[in-house]
Amino acid sequence: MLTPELKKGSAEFLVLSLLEHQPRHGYDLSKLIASRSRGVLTFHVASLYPLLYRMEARGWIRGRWVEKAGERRRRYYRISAEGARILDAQRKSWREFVAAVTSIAETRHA
Amino acid sequence: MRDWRREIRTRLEQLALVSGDDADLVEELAQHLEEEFADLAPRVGAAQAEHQLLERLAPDTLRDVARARRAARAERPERPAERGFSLAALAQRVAWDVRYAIRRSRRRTGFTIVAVLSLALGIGANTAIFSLVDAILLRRPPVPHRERVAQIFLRQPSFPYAPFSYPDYVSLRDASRGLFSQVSIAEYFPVPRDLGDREETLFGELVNGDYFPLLGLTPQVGRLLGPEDDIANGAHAVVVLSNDYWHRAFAADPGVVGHQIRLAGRDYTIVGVAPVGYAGTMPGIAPALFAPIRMIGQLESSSSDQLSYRDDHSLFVKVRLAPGVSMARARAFAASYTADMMQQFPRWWPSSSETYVVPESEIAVSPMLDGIVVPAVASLVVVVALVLLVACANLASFLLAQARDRQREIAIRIALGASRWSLVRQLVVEALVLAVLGGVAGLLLSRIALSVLLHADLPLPFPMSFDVSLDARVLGFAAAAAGAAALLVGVLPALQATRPNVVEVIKSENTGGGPARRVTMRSALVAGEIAVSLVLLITAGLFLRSLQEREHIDPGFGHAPAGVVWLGFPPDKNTGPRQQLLIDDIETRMRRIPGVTAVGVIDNMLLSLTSTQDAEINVAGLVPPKGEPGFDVDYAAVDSGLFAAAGVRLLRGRGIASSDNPASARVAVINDVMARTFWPGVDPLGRTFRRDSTTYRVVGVSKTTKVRSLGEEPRPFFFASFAQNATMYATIVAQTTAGHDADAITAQMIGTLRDVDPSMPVLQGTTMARHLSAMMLPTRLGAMAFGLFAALALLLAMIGVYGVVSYAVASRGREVGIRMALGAAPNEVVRLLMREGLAMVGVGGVIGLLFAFAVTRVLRNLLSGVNAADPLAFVIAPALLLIVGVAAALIPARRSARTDPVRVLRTD
Repeated sequence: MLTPELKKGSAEFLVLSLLEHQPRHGYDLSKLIASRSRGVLTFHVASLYPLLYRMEARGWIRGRWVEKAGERRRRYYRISAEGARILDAQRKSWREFVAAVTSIAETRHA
Repeated sequence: MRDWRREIRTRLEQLALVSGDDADLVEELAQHLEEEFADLAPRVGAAQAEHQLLERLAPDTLRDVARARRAARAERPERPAERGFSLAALAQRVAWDVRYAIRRSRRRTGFTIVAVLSLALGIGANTAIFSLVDAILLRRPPVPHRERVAQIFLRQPSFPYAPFSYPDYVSLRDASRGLFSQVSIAEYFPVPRDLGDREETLFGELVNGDYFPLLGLTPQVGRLLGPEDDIANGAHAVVVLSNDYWHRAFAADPGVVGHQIRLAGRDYTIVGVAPVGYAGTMPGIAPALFAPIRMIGQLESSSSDQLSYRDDHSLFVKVRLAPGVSMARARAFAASYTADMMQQFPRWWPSSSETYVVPESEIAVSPMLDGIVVPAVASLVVVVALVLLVACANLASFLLAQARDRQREIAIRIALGASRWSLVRQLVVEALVLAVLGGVAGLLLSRIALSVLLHADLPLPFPMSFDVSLDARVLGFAAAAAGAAALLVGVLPALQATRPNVVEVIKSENTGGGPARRVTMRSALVAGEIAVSLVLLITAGLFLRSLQEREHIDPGFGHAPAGVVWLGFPPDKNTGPRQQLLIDDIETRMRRIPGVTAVGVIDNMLLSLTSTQDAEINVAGLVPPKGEPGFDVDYAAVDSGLFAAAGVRLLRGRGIASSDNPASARVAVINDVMARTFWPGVDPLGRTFRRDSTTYRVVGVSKTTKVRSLGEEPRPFFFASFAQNATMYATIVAQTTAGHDADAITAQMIGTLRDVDPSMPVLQGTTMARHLSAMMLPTRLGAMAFGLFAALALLLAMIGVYGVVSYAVASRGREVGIRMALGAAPNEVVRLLMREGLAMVGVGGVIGLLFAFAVTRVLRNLLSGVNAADPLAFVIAPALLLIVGVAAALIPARRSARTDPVRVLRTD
């Protein structure tokens, strides 16, 4: 089980990467996070939206109400340029972290 | 299925976290929950799914959502960013604030109504008074180079600013050649207009040929009067209509030029219409028309000799300085002119004479009236400003209380990074929205009040007319009043509310448990309101007392109901035996009117607002005041019936008799004061005095009556015989017995005059009671205005007291519950809760009392017959304040003491 700190740190990374290629609405994001993490990470109303709003406040993502023909009005989040930069940086450090962990683990197993 | 929107909204509201634009937040969360429910329900069952989802809406998490959302909003385009400055951005932010304020005020209907109403009353009173100030003092006719126009007045023994006589004007005009481009004259006159089936009395101005050229006005239609209308007496049967009368009587018909109107039995051709914005020589009196002074003999049904009387002072003289001539040179000329006149006409120009040149820019209404009008208007302006101040203090106090309650909201917003300036701005905008609503309502109220006031049937002998139409100045004033109110109301609470220690307030879960300091601020405001109300109450009390005193003043005549009619005699019957026969005929017929007991004629009605009549007399053995040719004494010419008809009591000797005719010796009935002044300690009967070359013998002494005003010191006065001193005008008085309607008698008197001679001009018909009440008008209006505004201020202050005590009760509910649970008696609780309210009443009352002593000193001149420190006013007004104050504090306190302590304790 993930500790809350780890969950929080990884959640932002997750949201940014889910939004990298297409805008999504809140419930879509929570379902994707749950399915991609195979149930390890779950976000409910009370935890997902503060996260989204905080990221929005920081300027990483932007939420907009969108009305599509035949559908009701929904709030879609898309990644901002700033968010894309953050995602890049996080990916880099994540890779470095994973590389570091992997090398330690392989060393031990070696 | 559950209504998630409602569920979320209710929970947010319980957390006091709702702000107007949370609709989006609610919508977004509700959509999420709906979809999650749709996914979850098939797996775990609807009931279980609902239960799980509801658990996720725990208060703590929901609060996080709302806070995060608000923080995010600061970065969203709908809520403009606070950083950076541009006008467009500011406008956008303010627009957002306004929308928020409107939503807030819509949710608090009760508060909004009270706030808007009290501001409306305050702003309305101010706007109404300002409209009058605007009409009387600020609106100026479109006269070019007004700074080069001056009015000229004479100093007379009985008037500091007397108008001119026609011969004196002619002397002035001829002596000043080259100095003035124009010298104009104007005289007010009433004239009956024949409408075929009935007559209406119009008020007009008689003017000379320089009048309109001096003003430099342009006619709306046709032409104005000029030198070509000022050539020969009786030869210019033309009139110019005022804009007002043109609209009223001719529906602004531009084809009116060339039409005839019938005035005093003769046709006059309308040659033009005066411009909009020009309403005659004196503000407030609106002439219907302008006619050439050369027609005075025809319009006033007298011989044209009227222009030759040097003692008939009724012409208002205006001059326009010629190019290059300074005001100082005009004044130097006036001095030399006076010296010449004193030498040439010592009889009319005593050595105390002076001639004043008063620049138009220094005149408000007229130098004769400015001494009364300006202070009266100024005190009204101050009074209404105080009423508005009270209204603002009240609202500020309410908003302070609210600000306390909103401290949590504000603290959270500050914690989330909102700047103090943006919060202050938002609170001020909230006050501004209230003020704008109040301003609009106030403007409407002021229009209603003015139309009531201007249509009130005032007992005045001339038509009052004020142009109080809305203009940019009045609108600007209302807007400025609303803006000032918003600042007064909004800034203080805003600064207070945004100052709290952020951490402390957020920590304390109990909403708004602030320190006692803010209560003190509120209390100070309410105490101030009480002080102001008390000052107004005492002033109103003084005016009421003054009114009461005046109503008790005995004018010395006119106790019985009577009809009073002013008439002019037709040109062929205005002198000698034919006039006498006419009067006899009229009186005989009027005596036959059922209920009439006595009929008499007087040429100078006592206590008339528009005219006085005086004579220089000399008494053997007495030296007149230095520089004067004689003693200045008021008089009236009457016939034998007047003493009975007007109820003037004879003390000694006889009255005027029908045998006192032109053929017999001149006689006079003097009043008691005249007897004691000129013949102290001796019997005045049989004594004589001289007026010009005529000697009058005293045949009787009458009780002293009031002559010019009710407040005057007893004034020497004599009655002469009408037959021996005939004039072309007279007032007929017909007394009736109690129980007869004086108005009906007046109507029958006018009918009688029509029967006798249909061409006889009837200028005015009224009753004795109405005639006398005109004298009370200034005091009555003062008492009314101050009374009304004082009542308004008192009402507002009491709402303030009530509000403060209610608030104290509400915020100390827990404390009261505990006290009562511990066995405190309801009375003790009531006393505890009232203490603050009563302290405000006490402190405010003492301050108000001190101020009232100072203020009433200033008003001394407007109050007659009553001491400015009148004990009655100074006792009753504070007592009234105390009673109402206690009531306002008692009601909410008692309500609280009656509540069930268990219920109070359980709610927290």
